[in-house]
Amino acid sequence: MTDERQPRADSGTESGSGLRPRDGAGDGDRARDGAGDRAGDRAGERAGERAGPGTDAGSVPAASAGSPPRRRWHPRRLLRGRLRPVLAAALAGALLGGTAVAWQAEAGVFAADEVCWGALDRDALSPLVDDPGALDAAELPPVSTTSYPGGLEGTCRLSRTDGSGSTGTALTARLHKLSGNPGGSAGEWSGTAGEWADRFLGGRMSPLGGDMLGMASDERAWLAIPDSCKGRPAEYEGPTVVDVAGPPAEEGAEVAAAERNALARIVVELVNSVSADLGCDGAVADPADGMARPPRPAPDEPGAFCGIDGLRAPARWRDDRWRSLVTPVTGPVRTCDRQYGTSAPLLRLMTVEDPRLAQVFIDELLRRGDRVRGAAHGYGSLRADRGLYGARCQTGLVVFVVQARDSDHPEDIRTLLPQYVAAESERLACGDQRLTLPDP
Amino acid sequence: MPDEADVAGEGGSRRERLGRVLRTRRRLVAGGAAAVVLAGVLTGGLGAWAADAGPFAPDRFCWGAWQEPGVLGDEGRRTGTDDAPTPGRPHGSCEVTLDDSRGPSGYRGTVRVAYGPAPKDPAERMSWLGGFLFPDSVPLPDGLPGVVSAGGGLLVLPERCAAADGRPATVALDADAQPSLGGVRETAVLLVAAANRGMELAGCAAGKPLRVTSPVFTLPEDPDDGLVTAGRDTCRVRGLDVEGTEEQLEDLQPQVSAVTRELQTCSVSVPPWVSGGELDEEGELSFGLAMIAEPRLVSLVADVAGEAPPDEGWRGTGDFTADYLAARAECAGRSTVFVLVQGTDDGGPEHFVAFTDAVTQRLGCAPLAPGRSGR
Repeated sequence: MTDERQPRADSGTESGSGLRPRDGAGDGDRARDGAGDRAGDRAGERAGERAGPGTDAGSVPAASAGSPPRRRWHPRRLLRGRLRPVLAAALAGALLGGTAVAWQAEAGVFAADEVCWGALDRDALSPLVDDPGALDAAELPPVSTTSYPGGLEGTCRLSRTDGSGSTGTALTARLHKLSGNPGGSAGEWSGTAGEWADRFLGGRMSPLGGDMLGMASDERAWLAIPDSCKGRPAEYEGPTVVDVAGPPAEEGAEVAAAERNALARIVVELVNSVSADLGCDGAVADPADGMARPPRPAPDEPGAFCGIDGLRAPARWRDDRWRSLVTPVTGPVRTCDRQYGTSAPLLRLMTVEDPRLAQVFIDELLRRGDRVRGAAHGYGSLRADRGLYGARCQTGLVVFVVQARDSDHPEDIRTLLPQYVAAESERLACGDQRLTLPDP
Repeated sequence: MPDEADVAGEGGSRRERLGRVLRTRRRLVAGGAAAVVLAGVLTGGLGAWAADAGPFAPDRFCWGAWQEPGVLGDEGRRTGTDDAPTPGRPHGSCEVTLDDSRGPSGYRGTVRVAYGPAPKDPAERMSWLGGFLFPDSVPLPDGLPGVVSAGGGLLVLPERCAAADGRPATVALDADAQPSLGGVRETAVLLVAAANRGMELAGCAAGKPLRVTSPVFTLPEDPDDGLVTAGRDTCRVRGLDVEGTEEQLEDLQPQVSAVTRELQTCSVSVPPWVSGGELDEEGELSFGLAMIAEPRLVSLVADVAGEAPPDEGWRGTGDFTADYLAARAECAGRSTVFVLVQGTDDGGPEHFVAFTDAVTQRLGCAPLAPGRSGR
């Protein structure tokens, strides 16, 4: 089966916490709790002998090269004709793939209204750009990659070429796996993962809603491939996501609902297309109608910095012109961006509540910056412009982030991080999280 | 992964370079569309032929909920029992067994479905419910009232299907199959098909049939990831301390499945390789804890959770027995049930207090157990 199910070498024998620094030497070196070889043997037995519970069964991507899907009873065999159209659609999909060569060869006669891996109707773009029919598409269709186990990647870029040959990008969509351990690039903001978080977890974002691991703003959207398709990502792995970036909003503009809804729909269409290509059943429904009203920048209530009761910020962050842009409803993250008037965010307080998404920060948390210690199983890191802390809560790993745009006021990070962690871990029932900061 | 700069290049020469890795998409061929249409027609035709005009009459299993030539695979020996619900007698059961363990497919297993009211006896009902909640069930997709795992599931039917004494009717599926039915979503699809057919036969179907359309977004973490251990703060629930020597604790397998506002579970089992059972057996439950806020699931336990406080000083109502502990209270605006299903462990009350304290704090409501308000 999948690599994740294989017995692992146990290098860590510390007890208690699931959070501990990962030895950088490679994937086989996962530290984990438990009893060494014996637990490893169990994992092997379970994978080999037993129809596994939940997480493994049926999660083998049908399209992954080199690993034939596990034989299994399939409900299609059990169900009558009501699923026949689905079967027809699947076959049609296969044929569509087969004709791709001809189609790539420009033998086309009728208009291609679908772009980006055959998933997007151009009309879906009309809230975002004028004349979507005139956009050129450049695509790398979803393929499995050898960059990481079970990995998938794909790209689609829609752009407009004017007469002089210069281009403007209307939409960039990517399928990729978020990783908390990009390797190399020592000292960088979690490599690509940190940059991704900066762009895709901002205060402009609203959760897609329900149980979905995804968010959307009027500039960007992202959504993870559902667990029932590729399995739940293992510890130390981030989710595989589709993300899209549309035209940037004007600086200082409020989040536009129509654009946000369009991007939410687009990312859902793309995830559904990738899932179908992987042979997975089930389609994510249009999320737009169920989404909260987009967040709006607002001054704080007294004594509730960033809307968090009891949180007091250094005076610098508190005058009358400051505004907080806060994630409107509970979701994968709660972000508060502090902006001065209509400025770009200058300070971000973020709580990453989804344990799968929290893994994206694991490298920064455990291996970068100066060490922060916690009272209860927690770890963190501190730098001049940001502090992170991870705690084990009932839902799993939760990561708390305090991040400034520049490194000018490291004392603010030191002041805010312990307070923010205390207030948010109270909200999430993460227990007593007293932090010990490194010496300045 | 090519980073974005590689694919977002501008200008002609960049484009040429990109051309090597990217395909520029322009027009579909007419033939492609024609082929799709043809494929649809062909497949539909083939399907019809296979189902209705094949050399064998179609097999029907589980009251016709699942019918197809070759139920559970095309090879091997298939047997089934069928006892369909009727309006006058709204109980039903069925069982499909396939044995091709020596054949090419290797399939072996039994799927059982039961239609009818939840067990009447409170202890029996709690143990029965625990069998579906633990260790690794998640909420059914599409907001359907119930839980599902790769090995089975439970769906609570609408009130109109309830027994005369008010007990909700349910459809329960339990699979003992090698390999598995396929996965959580596949099991949910089978469960819902049986529920629709069962309601039809029992005469309480109304409106649109139930449907599973969405994927399952969140699966439980792998217990082998070691994210939870038995001992201190078991299942990451503060104060849920399981006593035992290091060796004893090592022989326990804790599992967290869902942790949402609808459902939270934590169970501790003795795995079969410890208890000496068959490897494909489920572990023996040490104890299981659950918070349930989905209204139809709550209605399954509502009467068991009593009308009086379970013990002195407790908020809400409940019932503490040797087999189970149950409590019900308003929490963050919802009627919420907490249960502990007792297995081999006897630490019940302490576990229950720790669990209700932690979960109520997470949900943002007052604790149930007395003497905790200062936390």
